[in-house]
Amino acid sequence: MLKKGDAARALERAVSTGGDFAEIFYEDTRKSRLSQTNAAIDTATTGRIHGAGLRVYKGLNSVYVYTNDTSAEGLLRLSERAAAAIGSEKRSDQKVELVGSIIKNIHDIRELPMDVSGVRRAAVVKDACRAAKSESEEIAQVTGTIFDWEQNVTIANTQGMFVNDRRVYSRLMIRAVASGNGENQTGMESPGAMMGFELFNTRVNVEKAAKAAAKRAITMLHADVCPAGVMPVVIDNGFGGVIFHEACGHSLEATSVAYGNSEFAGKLGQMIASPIVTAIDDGTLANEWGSENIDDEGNPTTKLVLIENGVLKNYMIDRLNARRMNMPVTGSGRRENYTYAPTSRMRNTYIAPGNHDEAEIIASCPDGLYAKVMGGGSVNPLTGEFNFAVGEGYLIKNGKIDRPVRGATLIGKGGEVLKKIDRVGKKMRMAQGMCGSSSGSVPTNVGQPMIRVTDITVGGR
Amino acid sequence: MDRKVFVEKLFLAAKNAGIDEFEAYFETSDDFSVDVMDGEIREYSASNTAGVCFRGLYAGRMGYASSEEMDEEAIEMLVEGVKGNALLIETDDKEIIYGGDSDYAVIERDIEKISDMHADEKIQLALDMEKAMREADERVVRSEGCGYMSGIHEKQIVNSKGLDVSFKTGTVGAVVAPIVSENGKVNFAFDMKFAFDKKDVDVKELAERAVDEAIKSMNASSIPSGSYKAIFRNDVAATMLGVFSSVFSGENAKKGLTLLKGREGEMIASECVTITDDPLLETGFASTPFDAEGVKTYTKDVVKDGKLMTLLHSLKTCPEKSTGNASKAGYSAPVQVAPTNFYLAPGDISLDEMIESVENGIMITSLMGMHSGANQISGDFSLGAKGFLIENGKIVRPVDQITVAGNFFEVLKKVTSIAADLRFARPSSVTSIGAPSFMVQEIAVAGL
Repeated sequence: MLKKGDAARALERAVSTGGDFAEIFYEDTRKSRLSQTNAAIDTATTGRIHGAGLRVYKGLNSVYVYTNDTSAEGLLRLSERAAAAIGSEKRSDQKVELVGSIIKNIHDIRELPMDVSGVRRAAVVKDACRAAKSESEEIAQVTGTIFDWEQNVTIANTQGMFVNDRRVYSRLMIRAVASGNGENQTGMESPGAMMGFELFNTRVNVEKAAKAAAKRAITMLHADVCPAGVMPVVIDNGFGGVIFHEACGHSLEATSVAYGNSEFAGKLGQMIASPIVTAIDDGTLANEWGSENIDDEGNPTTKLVLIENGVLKNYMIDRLNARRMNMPVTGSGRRENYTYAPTSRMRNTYIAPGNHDEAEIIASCPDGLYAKVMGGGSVNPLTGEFNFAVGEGYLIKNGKIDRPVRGATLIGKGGEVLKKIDRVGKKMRMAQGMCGSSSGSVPTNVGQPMIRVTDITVGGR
Repeated sequence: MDRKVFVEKLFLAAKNAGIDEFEAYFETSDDFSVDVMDGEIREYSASNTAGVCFRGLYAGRMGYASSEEMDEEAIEMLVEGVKGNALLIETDDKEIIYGGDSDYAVIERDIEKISDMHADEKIQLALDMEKAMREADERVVRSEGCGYMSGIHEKQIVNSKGLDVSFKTGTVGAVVAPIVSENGKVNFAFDMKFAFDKKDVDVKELAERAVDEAIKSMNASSIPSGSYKAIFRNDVAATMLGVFSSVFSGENAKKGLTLLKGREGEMIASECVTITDDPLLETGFASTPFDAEGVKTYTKDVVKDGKLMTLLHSLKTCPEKSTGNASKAGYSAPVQVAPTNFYLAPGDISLDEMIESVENGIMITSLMGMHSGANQISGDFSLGAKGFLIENGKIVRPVDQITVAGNFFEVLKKVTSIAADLRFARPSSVTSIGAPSFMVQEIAVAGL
């Protein structure tokens, strides 16, 4: 527990050399991981992450220091280190009064994972592995892993903030490997939520998810390599939303916009996408994987319209970049843990449902690619160049879904692709990912209805 | 709590709890980094952290638990965690607590060269680098990052069989990513240098090299799809080898996750390919006298003249003969298998000579999407790429908006020549991957 008095003294010390703002992020996290490969549990670990990070600003300069030593003396030493780095003035008139507040909890948690026995948790991965394995004799190997963690944070700053939050996450990851003719192909499913152990008997059908992973591996084992070239691509809902996440979302984070290192910098109010595209970043959805109560700077999370009918409406802005951009924060400051300074990050980011019928989108599509399930990807926000892998793809021929293809990669530039979206379907669905950036790896949802891009470069052989 | 007292109390509690054999693995880090922009500090980070992983044999199985807090409460949590987790394990793997070897290698590291460096000096070097970057070419507009960093890391293994070993190492390094602009078009490049001594990190040279790369690759465009002869430049070659290094893991072989399982003694690569794991490399960032299980490390060829000599093993994956490659990707991570200083052995021609030998082809200088477009289990990759078009032995123009696709195992067999320019990539906490530039007879390119 971070004591108010200790935090206040440390914050006062932090701004004693000329800093104009300081913040402490205190964290105590319990995490566990249980994994089975084939028929036997082979990994079971538990851990405790514990430490504090302290930030000081002076204008646009920022210093971040962190430690495991959260004793009163440890925090003072941390403050001194930051204070010495940010300035050399000598002030003693700093007085910080911390006033606690209770934040609104959006997320019901029924079964705290750390209280659930190992045996019950093991049963989930056992069910998953059994279901995937039974799908086909070609499934040579299955790994099921259950991850959960409970992050307790306290955030205090020189403006008097003192808030606590408790974040509970659960996730199941199933990887099936299909083998034949000296080749291996994989299929993955990894549903998760900001929920406790109840996830596995509410939102997630463990057996169904496991079978989906196995089926994908088998489909890909029998697929031909994807032909290379420029073609129309239909991207299905769910994890297909990674296209928006990579191609556009990262370029709307203040982390790149504030420095002008984004192709969308200075384009608020301008048409940056096809008029049928509306995109939203929403941290307020109950129990969603990318949701929060407050962000990692203590600000309430928000629902933010990024693009409305093709027009750029908002950037995602953290506290430091708000200063740089002279714009308000959007509750988007996130970090993996106390070892990272927070920066603007996505939460649950999706393209809103449109008006097109899914069957028509395929039927009216010239010969091209249907990306049923996407893999991960990355982007360089400066140029907008992105790439991502297609996890399960099919050729589209004469308006029909044809044979499966593997090894496809989509590349392009975010700004160009957004304008080439000519269909947006009606059924929006989200999927879970871990998004890596300068403030570490954080849970994010990607989502969209089925969309169609008129032409995109498909990498294959 | 003092480390020694903590260990005594922890071990006593473990004994009293009925844990037969046990081990504590500590990691301590002292990290610093600064990033500058327009002559001012943009980011500044400093930290001291420590973590412990405790493992022990309980009811015949090994349980693991970890903590960053080292107090009485942590001792209870670690002991209970080890017991509870051990009871969940079902595999018949024989995990052992190792008593140690008698003759660990001595790897000299002068930590004071790094610990004596004041923060102000590192900030100044970052500023000097930014200045050099701006002065290198008038088309430089700013940077996406211009930083200097240092890190001192120590690991210690203490166990109930009397082993007590530790190793401390430290590095300094600089990274720079200049952004250049001309006629409204922007481009950037990234470069880095790490060393054990600040005098080996020439920030001016680094900045100029990065700017040169950014300028040379400006105004790139795509090329028609097709099959091309290709040079993987050394930095890209190392990225490739790094991403697929897990195919040499004995642990993955055991789990059926690598196609190299059971293929020791077979030719798996072109004859010019030799890949070495050298934990004793004097200049290696991943050098270590003992592995994460306390086993003495040694140098070995994993691939020799195209033949697969051995996979990498730990005591867990091969109790009779560990290759000393037990590894932990952080104190709390389970013991896995990973390479140390792992590199493709250099050939004897220069990169220029290699380029001159290409009538029609490409040189790949950047790969994107390694974490999503490369599959270690199948060996397949399909990645965004940038590089240069080569015609009649000369670089003609920069290329972007292409993908290269293939299979790592096929690439190994298609290597036709290897240059002498061995270079190590940015090291992770436990592994440092190096490669010289190499050429393959063909690779599939998707472009126009």
